Amino acid sequence: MKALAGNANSPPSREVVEISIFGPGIGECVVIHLTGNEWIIVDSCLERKTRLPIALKYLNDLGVNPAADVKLLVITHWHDDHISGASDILAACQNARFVCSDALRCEEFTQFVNLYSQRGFLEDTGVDEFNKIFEVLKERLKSGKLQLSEPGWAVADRRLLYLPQDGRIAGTEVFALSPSDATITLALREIGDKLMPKPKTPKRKAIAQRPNHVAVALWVTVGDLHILLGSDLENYMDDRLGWEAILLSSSRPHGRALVIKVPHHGSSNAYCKRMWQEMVTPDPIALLTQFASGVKPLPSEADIERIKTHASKIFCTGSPSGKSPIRRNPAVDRTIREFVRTRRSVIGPMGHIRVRIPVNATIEKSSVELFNGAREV
Amino acid sequence: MPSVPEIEAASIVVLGSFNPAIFHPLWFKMNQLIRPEEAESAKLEVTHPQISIFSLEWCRLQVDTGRFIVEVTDRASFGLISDLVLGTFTILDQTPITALGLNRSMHFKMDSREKWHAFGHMVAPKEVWSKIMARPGLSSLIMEDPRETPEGFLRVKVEPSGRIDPGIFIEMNNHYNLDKKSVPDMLQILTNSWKDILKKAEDFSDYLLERAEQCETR
Amino acid sequence: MRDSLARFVVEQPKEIRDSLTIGDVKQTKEIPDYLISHEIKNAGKKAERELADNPAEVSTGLPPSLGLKAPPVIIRPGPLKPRVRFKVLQQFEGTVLEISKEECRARVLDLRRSEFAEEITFSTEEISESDREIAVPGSVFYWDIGYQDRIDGQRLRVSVIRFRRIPVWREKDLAAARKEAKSLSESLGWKR
Repeated sequence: MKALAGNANSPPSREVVEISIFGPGIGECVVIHLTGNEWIIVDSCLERKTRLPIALKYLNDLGVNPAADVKLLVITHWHDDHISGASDILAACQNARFVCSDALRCEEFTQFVNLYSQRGFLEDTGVDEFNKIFEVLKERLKSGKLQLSEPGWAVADRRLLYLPQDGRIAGTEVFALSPSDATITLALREIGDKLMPKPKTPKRKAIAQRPNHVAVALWVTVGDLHILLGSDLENYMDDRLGWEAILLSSSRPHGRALVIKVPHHGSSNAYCKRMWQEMVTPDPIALLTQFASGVKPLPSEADIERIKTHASKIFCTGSPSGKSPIRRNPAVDRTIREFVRTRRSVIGPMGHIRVRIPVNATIEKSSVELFNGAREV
Repeated sequence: MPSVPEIEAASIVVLGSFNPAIFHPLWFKMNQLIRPEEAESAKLEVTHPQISIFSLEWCRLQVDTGRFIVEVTDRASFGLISDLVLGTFTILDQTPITALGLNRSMHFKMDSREKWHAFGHMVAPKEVWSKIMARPGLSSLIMEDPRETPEGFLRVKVEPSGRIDPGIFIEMNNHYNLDKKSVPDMLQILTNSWKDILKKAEDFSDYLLERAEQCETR
Repeated sequence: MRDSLARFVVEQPKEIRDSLTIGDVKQTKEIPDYLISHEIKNAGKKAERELADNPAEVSTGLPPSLGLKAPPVIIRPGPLKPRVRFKVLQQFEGTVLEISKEECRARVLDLRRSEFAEEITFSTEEISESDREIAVPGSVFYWDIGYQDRIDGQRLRVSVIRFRRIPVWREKDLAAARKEAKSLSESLGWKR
C-alpha cells in the first residue's frame, strides 16, 4: 500500500469503502462511503475561502446528492472545531438522521445554547451552530418529518445505524462506543456548573472545557471491515470513563479496526494502550488531524513516536505547527512582533486523507491518497 | 486598492422617547458599559433634564427627549459604539423607540482639481443642466432607496467636502422604521447590520472613486 | 431670569458641521422667546413675591416644576474634534482562551480577512488596568494597530487592546432561556 496523490474529485466505485478525513488546523470532518453510494458524515468544519462545510463541498465535487445519499450525520460534541457548518449539512441532507451525544440531552444544554445564542453581539460558531441545528429540526417537525426531526442519542453500545445487506453490496452498522453513563453524569454536572452563566456576570463566549466528557467515539462496520473513529475521547484513571469504560463493556461490538482515526489528535491524554492492543489490528492505517491551537499543538513528536509503536502507516492532515502567519504591512508586522510573545496561524489549507478499500478486501488492496498538505508521518 | 478617507465618522441614532437626565457618564460606569476612568474624565458639555451631552476620548453622546445619538470619528471605535448602544438598550429594553439610523460618512482628498471635477461630473452629468446653467456644478446629490424588510431606506449623499479642498464627502444613512417594533428588534437589526453597513459604505465609496478615475482617464 | 437660562444654551460653534444625523440640525445663539414656557416667564414674578414675603427662603435656582420647553432643534456644539487621530493599519478581534497573572493566550481573527486566525500569547501588562477584571476566558477584545497623531503633531505607532463591554447576564435572560429550552425540549424530544 502506498500513499498516492490522486484526483480528489474522482468518486469511489460502488463496492469500495472510502474513509475521507479533513483537517484545516482547527476542526475536523470525516466522510465515509459505505458502498452503494450511501454515505455518513461525522463532524463538520468549514473550507477556509468559501466558508462552506467541507463535507458538502467534497460530496458536491464527487457528484453525490447529499439529500438522497447521506444516511447519517453524527456530531460528536458541541465544540466549534467539530461542528462549524453542521446545520448546513443537516439542512442539505434531508434524509439523514441527526445524532449527537446523549450527554447533551438535557434542558440545561438547550438552555445553554439558547442563552449563548441570545447574546447577539458575540459570534460563537459552536453554540450558534447548535442553535441553527435546532431550527433545522424544528423545520422538519413542521413539515411532518417526525422520524427525522427527533435526534438520535449516542450512548455507549447503542447502534445508531443499521443498513442490512439485502440488496446492498455490504451491510453496515454504526455503533456509538461512548459516552458511558458515568461520563454523562460528569458532563451534565459540567454543563450546570461551568458552562451555565450566572446572573450579573459579564456575557462572553463559551469556551470548551477539557477533558471532553461528551465526545462520541464510533465503531463503523461495513461488510467485514471495521473502522474506529476516536473523536476527542480521552483517557481517565477511572475505569467508568473514557477508553477504559469502552474496553470493559461486554456489549460493545467486537472485532478489530483496520482503520483508526486516532483520538484527540494523538495526544497523550487520549492514549490508551489497551485500546490499540484489543480494538485495532496489529498494523492499522492510522489517521490523524492536527490541532494547531493550544499551548502545545498536536500531535507532538512524542505523540507520533508513541503511535509508531502501534502503526507503521500513519497519516496526518497537516503540520501541527500550522502555516506561518501571513505577512502584512511592515509596520503592522513589526508592531505584532514587539507585542506578542508567541504567535502562530491556526487555520491552514484543508488537508485531506482519503483511504479506499474494496469491501471485504485486505489492507494490501487499500490505497491512501493525500491532498492539500496532508502527509505521511 | 481601497481608498482611505482623510476624515471619517460613524454614528448610531435612535429616535424614541428618552429621559436625558439618566445618560450621565456615571450611569454608564455603573452599568460597566465604559471604564471607570472614562466616566471620571468625561467632558460634560450639557446636563439637563431635556438634553445631555458628554464626550469620552473616543465618542460623543447626545441625548434629548426624542433622540439618542452616539458618534465617533475613529475607525478603531466603530465596534465600540455598537457595543455601547447594544449595552445601553439591553438595560433600557422598555424604551419606546420609533426609528434607528446607522450612519457612516467619509471625506476623501482628491489628487487634483481635475479629478475632483471628474468625480462631480461622473455622479451628476452636466449636459442636462447646461440648458439652463452656464457653469453647472455639483452642490449636493442625495439618492434614496426604499427598503421593505426591515422597513426603511438607504440614503446616500455625495457633495464637495466642506473640510478638505479639493475633496469629496460621502455619507450613508441607513434608516429603519421601528414604529411597531421593540428594543430587542432594534438590537437585532444593529447586530445583524452594523458591520455590513460599514463595509458597504467603504466598498461603495471605492467604487465611486474608481469610476471617477476611469472617467477622468478617458 | 433670562440670565439664568444661559447655562442651558450650548456654546456657539465656530463652523457648521456636516450633518450626521437623521433630520435637520440647526444652531441658535439662545432659546427664542416663543420657546420659553409660560411657567418660566411667570417665575420671575413669583420669585419677587416670595422674596418680599420670606427673603431668606427663596432659592435662586429654578424650581423643579419648571423646565424648558423642548426646542424643535438640536443644538450642536460643533464638529467632534478628537484630541488624537488614529490611523488604523490593522484590526483584530480576539477571544481570551486562557489568562493568568502574567500571560494571556488568545485567538485573534483578522477583521479584514476573517479566514486568517492566529493564536497569540502576550503579557497581561498590555491590558489596561480597568479592563483586567473583565479579561476572563471567553471575553472578547479589539486589538488595533496603527498610527496615533496627537494634537501637538507627534505621531506614535501604537498597539491598543480594548475589551468589549457587554452587559451582564440578567435573571430575566436566564428565565427566558429556561422557558424556551423547556418548549424546545418538549417539541423535539430533547429531554430525558
